[in-house]
Parts: sequence; structure tokens; C-alpha cells
Amino acid sequence: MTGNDALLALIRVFTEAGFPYMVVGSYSSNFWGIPRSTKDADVVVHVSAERWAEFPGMLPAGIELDDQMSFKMVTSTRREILRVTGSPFEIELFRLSDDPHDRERFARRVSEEIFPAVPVFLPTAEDVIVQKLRWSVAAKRPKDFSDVVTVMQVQWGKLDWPYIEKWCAEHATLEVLRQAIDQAAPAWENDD
Amino acid sequence: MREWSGSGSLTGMEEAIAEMAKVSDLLKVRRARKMTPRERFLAGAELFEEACLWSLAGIARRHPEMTEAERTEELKRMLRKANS
Repeated sequence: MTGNDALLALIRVFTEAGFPYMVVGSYSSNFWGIPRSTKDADVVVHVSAERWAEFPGMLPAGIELDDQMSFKMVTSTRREILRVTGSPFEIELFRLSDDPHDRERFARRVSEEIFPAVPVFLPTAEDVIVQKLRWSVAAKRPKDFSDVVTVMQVQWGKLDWPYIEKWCAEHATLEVLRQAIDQAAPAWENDD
Repeated sequence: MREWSGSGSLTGMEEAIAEMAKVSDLLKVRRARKMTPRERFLAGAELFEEACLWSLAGIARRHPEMTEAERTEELKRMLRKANS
């Protein structure tokens, strides 16, 4: 089973179970920006503890829930890992946190046609930028900053800048936002 | 794009390299804009799987005695080490 097959299988499970979710992380920045190799898929899911207890029994063959659970920094989100049999590819599952931006990006998520007859929910390009800038500072992850630059390079002109600036001010990431704009700018200036 | 003559100073060479990097970046942006969102969404895992195939071939060459499952485990171990 490939990584994309595993993600599709998981999305089918969420769709059939009626679990609201969105695919975040590098899949979302690849969707809006310049694709880069990714060894995992990150998915945020919003479901009650009772219904979540049903989840392991819903998993299709070839995908297993890892016993070890952890918490992700920045938003203290609970994280669970799904292993794909015979593949190093992983799917990381996060429960929707109470963080205000986590809530808002989930409410604004968009449905896209990726797989036939199965809608895929993703954060908007603006929310990818806001979240990845936050991670680039809080977790000191340069690849998040690079992802932001590529989303700006590809989506420039379609972005809601006041929305991005509002959240960057809230997260104290306006300086790094300016740096990303400076790096992305040549792609717009040299556009045909 | 300014051409580098090959006989300039180190600064001139650095400028030429910076210019080439800028052009390369622009080409990547244009290529990404031409892809459909679906293609961009799926490309990350596809690139990873291609890299895994090359890595598994390297492992098989170094460890011909390993089974396919053992090679996959070795690849997972290498990935964990690279991410730690």
C-alpha cells in the first residue's frame, strides 16, 4: 500500500463514519505550493472520545494504530500514529485542539476533489501560511518557513493578506512573515 | 539573465551562481503553477516512495542476505536516524 493509498483509505473511513477532519502539514502546503517529498501525512480530526474509541476497529487492512501516543508541542495537541504495513510511510493523527487558530482554520477548511467521489478537506492557503509560520518560529523548523515561501510564490494574488496579518500579529510572527514575503517576492516580480 | 564569462572574480562567480539559483527557483514556481492541485497534493508521497526505492536498492546491494521485510526495517531505521 502506498502512502497516498493509505491516506485515501483513511479519508474513506472518516467520510463513512462522519468524522470531520482536514489534511494538514506538508500535504496541504504541497497542495497550495511547490511539492516536496513527504514521509507522512498529518490529519486533524474532530470527534468525541466515545466515537474515537470505535476508530481502531474501523481501520482497513494494511493500516495499524501505533500503541504509543504523544503530544505535539505549540498547541499541545494529542497525536497518534498510524503505521502502513510494509512501508516507512506514516499517518499522524491529531485531535482538534482548543487553540483559537486551530479552531478557526478547521472551521474555514475547504473541500477539494482529489480522489474520485471522495472529498478531501484541507486548510485554506492562508491558514497553511499562518500555521507554518508559527511552527517555523516555535519549533525552529526551517522547512516550515520554506513551505510558506512556496505557497506564497504559487498563490500570490489570491491570498487574503489582512487575514494572514491578523493571525501573525496574534502569534507574534509578523517579522518572519515579512521575511517570507521578501523571499517569495521575486517570483511575483518576474511573473510573465 | 547575465552571463558569467568564466574569467571573473570570485564575487562575479558568486553573483552568477545566485542568479542561476534565482532562475532555478522561478522555474520551480512556474512548473508548480502548471501542475493541477491534485497532482501537487499527490506528488509529495510519490517523491518519497521513489526515494525509498533507490534507498532500498542501495540496502539490497550492501546487504544481499536481507529479506525484503528486513530491508524495509533497515530503511525505517535509517529514516528514524535521519529525523532524530
